[in-house]
Order: sequence, then C-alpha cells, then structure tokens
Amino acid sequence: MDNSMLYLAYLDPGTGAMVLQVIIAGFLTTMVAFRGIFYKVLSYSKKLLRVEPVCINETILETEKTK
Amino acid sequence: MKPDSPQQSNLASREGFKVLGSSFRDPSGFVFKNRDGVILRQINQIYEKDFLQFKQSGLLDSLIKRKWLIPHQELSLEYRLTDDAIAVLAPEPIPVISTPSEWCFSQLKDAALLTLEIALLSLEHGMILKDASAFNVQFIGSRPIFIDTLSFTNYQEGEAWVAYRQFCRHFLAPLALMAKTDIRLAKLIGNEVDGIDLDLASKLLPSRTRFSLGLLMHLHLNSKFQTSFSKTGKEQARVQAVKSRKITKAGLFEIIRSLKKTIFTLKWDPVGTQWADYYEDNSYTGQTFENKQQIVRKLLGRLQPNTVWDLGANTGVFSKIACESGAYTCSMDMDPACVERNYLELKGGNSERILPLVVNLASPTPAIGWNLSERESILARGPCHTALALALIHHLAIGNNLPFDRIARCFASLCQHLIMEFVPKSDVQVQRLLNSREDVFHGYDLDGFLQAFRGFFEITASEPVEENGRIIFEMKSKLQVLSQTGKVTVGQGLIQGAQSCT
Repeated sequence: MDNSMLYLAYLDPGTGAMVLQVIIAGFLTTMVAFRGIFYKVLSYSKKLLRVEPVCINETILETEKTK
Repeated sequence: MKPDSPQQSNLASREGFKVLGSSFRDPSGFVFKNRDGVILRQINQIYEKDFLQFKQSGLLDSLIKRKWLIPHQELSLEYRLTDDAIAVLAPEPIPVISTPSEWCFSQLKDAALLTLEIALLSLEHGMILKDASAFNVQFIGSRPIFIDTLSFTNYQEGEAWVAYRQFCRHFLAPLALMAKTDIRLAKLIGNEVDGIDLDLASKLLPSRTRFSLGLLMHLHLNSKFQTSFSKTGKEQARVQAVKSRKITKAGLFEIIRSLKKTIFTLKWDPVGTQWADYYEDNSYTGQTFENKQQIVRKLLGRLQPNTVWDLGANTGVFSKIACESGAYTCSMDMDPACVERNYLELKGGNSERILPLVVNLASPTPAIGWNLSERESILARGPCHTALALALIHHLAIGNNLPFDRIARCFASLCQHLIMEFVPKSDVQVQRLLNSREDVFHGYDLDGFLQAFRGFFEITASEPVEENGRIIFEMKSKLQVLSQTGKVTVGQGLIQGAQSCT
C-alpha cells in the first residue's frame, strides 16, 4: 500500500460527491469558457462602437465617433 | 495498519505524555502534551514526502506569512513520542480552544472562507487539503487560524477534492440552515464531530434555496448523489466510468471558487432575539452603569487575571474592560445575535484578545465524539483565572430553577476568582422574570446567596452598585485553592459537583 492510498483511506470522500465533482467541474468550466467568449464578444462590440481619438501633429485635439 | 501500533506500544514508556483525545484519525501524525503540559505535534514517516513538499513548495511560508496557519517551531527528534517520527513541531499555543458549535454565524462563515482560501493557495502550490473539518480552525480573538499542519498533501492532476463532502457537511450545511431556515439550527452541529448530514440539511432548507445555483449544486444535488450512489450496486460500472474521468485543475479551482461564492453570499442579520438590545432596555441609568464599570475595572485591576471568562457577556461591554486589564477574555453568551454583534465589532477592530462564543451556561457545551474524549466540554477547558458573572445569577436561579449551592459549586470549579453581581428580587429585571409565573423562590435573597457561596468561595470584597440594590462580590474559589495544594484536583471538584447535581 503506498502513501497516497493510505491518505485516501483516512477520509471517505463519498462516491456521490466524487461523481458530482466531475459533473460540477465540467459544468463550471464550460460556464467560464462561455463567459470568456461573451466578454470577448462584448469587448469587441465595444471596440467597434468606441470613441476614437483623432491625432493631428501628435496632439489629441478632438474625438469623433466611428460607425 | 502499521502506524497505530508503535504509538500504542510506546505510550506506556512515556509516562506523563498524553496523546490528545481528538488526534487519532490521521495516520500522518498526532498531537500530544508533554510532561510540562506543552502541546507538541509528531509527524510520522508516512507523511515525510508531503511534509517536505509542504516546506519546499513555499506553501508553509506563504500560509504563515498570511497568518492563516498556526506558526510552529521544529524541535529535535528527542522530543518524539514514538519511533516512526520524522519531525516534532511545537505549535504556538491557542489561548482557548473552541468548537464550531460555539461559534456565531460570522465566525463559522469566516472559518469556512479561510479553509477555502487555504485550499486555493494549496492548489497554486501543487498541493491540496486532504480534509476540511471545521475543527481544523480555531480563533485567536476574532482571527480565525488553521491549526492542522498535516492537512496538506500532494495534488495529482485530474483528481477530485477528497474533502469536498466533508467541507459541505461541516460548513455549507450549517451556514445555509442558519441563514435560510433558523439561526437556532446551529445547535445541530453541537453533538456531531462530522457536521450535518446533507440529506437532512436539504430537507430542512426552504424550497427556494434550490434556485440558488451554489446551494443547488453543493448541497441539494450533493445530498441526492450521496443517497443514490450509496445504494447502487448494479450501476457500479457506470459510476466507475464517471469517477475515472479526470477533473482538470481549472475545474477544481472553479469548484472551490463556487463554494467560496456560495458561502460568501450567505448572510444573517443579528436582530430580533431577546437579548440583542439588552443594553438599550435595562434597569440601569447611565450613571449606575458607569459606576458598575468602574467597580469591575477596579476589581480586575487588583486581580490582574491572565484569562477571564465573561459569562453572560451580552455584546461584550465588560469583556472589553477585562481585556483592558491585560487578560485574554472569552466573551460567552447564549444569544447568537449578541455574540454575532460582539464578533463583528471585534473583527472590525482586529482584536486578538477577546474571543466571543455562544455558550449557554445552563446547558454547557458537552464533550462529544469517540469515548466522549474527542472534543472536551466547555467546563473541562477551564479553569480560568477569573470569571465574570454580572447580572447572571437571577437568570440561572429563577430563569432556570437552579439552587444557589449548585450554581456556587459549578462556578467554584471553573474559575479561581469570581466577580459576581447579586441582583435582588426587587430589581425590575427579576420582577420581569417573575411576571408570568408564581414566585416559588423563597430562598432567593442576599442571605441565601451568601450562605451558598460561602461554602465554595472566600468572599474577598463587595461593592454596592448605586441606586438599584445590586451588589458586586469578588470571591476566591475554595475548590481551586485545594487543587493548588494538591488535596483536590479541579477534575474531582467537577465530578463531585456533577454527582451532587444528579
């Protein structure tokens, strides 16, 4: 019996809890991935609508909206 | 299993050493008291690899630097108790040991959040918590601290969190019940060493909690999975197939973060209990209350206690006075709202000298666990140097029908010195208690009080509190004096007290 098996034997993790963790981990990582995609899309659309500075002679003088 | 046998065989040869009653489940090591009463932790050979990783990964230093783990000094092996020791640690002593059932809502919540923060930090260092018991956390004043140095093990990519279910039983279930159902359900953990059954918690929680994603996943579904998988023999193959799927490290991080978010959003507002607004609604005028504080300050200044137990402390006004006198103070009250307010105020001030606890003296925290020796009763954790029992006697004698002599015997066992306020029957607070019942307390007067207490205490001073007829007494326990001379031990005093009370 190696050490790691002994440690596992010390605390019963519960089969249900182990299976549930697999499911929750899958669900949460998917959610996080979707959230990441959502924020990327959001930041891209913000970028499209962003107010861009117009530079003349290396000095910012005014801004104008891009379509 | 090998690790137990050498401990047992060597114990007899180490006379005066005592392995703590709570330290026997984990083969990685154990905690013991040496002849001088110093708490030491032995680490066994089986934990050597993990302990080295714990130190070399920088996790140990990070935890101590953040004040999340109790610091320790590594001693030489000559202090070991058994032969399979690879290290002996002398952890910094915890002034007063408390149990999770004695914590208010926010204390349990902070202990839970600390455990999760430590789990996250461990993962960052390539390790993982192998257990997540609430008993692994203690409080130094209002600061939670992790005390189990042997809870850290190597994390292997793909594995689930072994302590997940234990964390949910010890922290999530009681906190959810306290926040969403009734604060008094905290009492469910009072007799348990392994938290609350998740199926029971799921049944007791209101249906609306199923709409909270965190509670749905970690509590309700956890309970369902636990019940269904414990009786599936035919589905073993399918279970094994799911279990064999790996959990990515990112997935494990998300589980712990989700638990953290779920715990963080649980809230309880400490209002509406009988005692929470006591100081706004009592029989004292401002001057009388000020006078009482002066008397207590003077008596404590004379006694110079190192530990004070403030019994019936309410929101801890007098505990702060005790703390000012230099004592580490346990501020105990039976009302969870009072303790909650006290804790939140102390936490705001970063106090490390006052420990608020929910303790009902009329029904004190019992000893629990295997052989009733795993977790000590609150009385066994004494005696303290000085106990404060201000405006408490009428609640015990009249509110709980306890005769004076039994109260005196109990107090004499749990403290060396007692500062006690006698409240006469004419007092408005006593009259309130008698409003709805027949007065059968004919012995409740100053003479009866003095006669009973003189049997167990030497009265060393008395100071009348102005106007309302109350008197504050300073007393010295005769049981404790005898125990110091070796004639009677404190334990014997307690046993005699218990016998006389049956």
